Amino acid sequence: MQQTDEKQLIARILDGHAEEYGYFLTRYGDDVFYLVARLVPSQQDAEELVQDAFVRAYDKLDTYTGEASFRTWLCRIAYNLTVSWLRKQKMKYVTIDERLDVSDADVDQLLDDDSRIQQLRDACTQLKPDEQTLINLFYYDGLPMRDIAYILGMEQGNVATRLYRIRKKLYLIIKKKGTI
Amino acid sequence: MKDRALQEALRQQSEQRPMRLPSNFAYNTMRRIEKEQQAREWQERVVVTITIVVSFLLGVGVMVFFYGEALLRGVRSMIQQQEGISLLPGMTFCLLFFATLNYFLHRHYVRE
Repeated sequence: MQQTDEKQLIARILDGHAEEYGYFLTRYGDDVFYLVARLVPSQQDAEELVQDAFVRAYDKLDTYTGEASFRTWLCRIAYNLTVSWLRKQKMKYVTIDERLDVSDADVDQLLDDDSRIQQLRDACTQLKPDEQTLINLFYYDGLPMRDIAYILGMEQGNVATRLYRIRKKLYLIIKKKGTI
Repeated sequence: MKDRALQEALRQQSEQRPMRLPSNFAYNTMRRIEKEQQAREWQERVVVTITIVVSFLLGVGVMVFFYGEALLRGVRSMIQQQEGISLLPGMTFCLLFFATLNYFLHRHYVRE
């Protein structure tokens, strides 16, 4: 179904055909779930957050303007709910002094080094939720910068800068462990 | 490809936790949406009813406070005059007619 068709479906739901909202649950449930499950440790919490996101989206359906695709809009809601939830859990994340001087060539080399995969996996789990989401959306889901910026609620121009800093941070986390 | 190791790390991380939504997720969520909608509608109805009742009581209170004596005098004089009482059946009929009409129009045009 294309975005225009989805808009028509939304209009029908707002017109009283609430049962048709089930289409979005079936179509985008897994996408939203993967986004949340990467940040939340337990399956049950992730399921609840995804359900909350869909209920919230239904309640705010009349505010959907179509500036992003419905999937992206849903992801943004789910992401915001997840970040609020994580904040309440008072999770601890690693903070690194990003002013440290690191050469781009060293970072590039590390992130391309297949022998570092396990270390990179460990380092990724220590990133903040927004950082984890950003790299997953960019590298794993392959979303365009525009959609990533919308989901994370930031300016499109800042995504690349943020990505650059996260790459540097990964390098510094691994370096801090003394394996470089 | 740039950042090949990082991409592989993220892929492995995602596949390490193969979490899936339960098959009844859509059904459960729709049920929850339905319940919350019903609760909200009920709450709205209660608020509207309370607002109408309070407004009505306030209106009556204001009328009685400012024009109570005048109204009482009017009703008394209407009862004393034979012509005043003769208007009552007609007014009652009209009232019942419009109430019934309102009921059927509401049933026909307003979707619950």
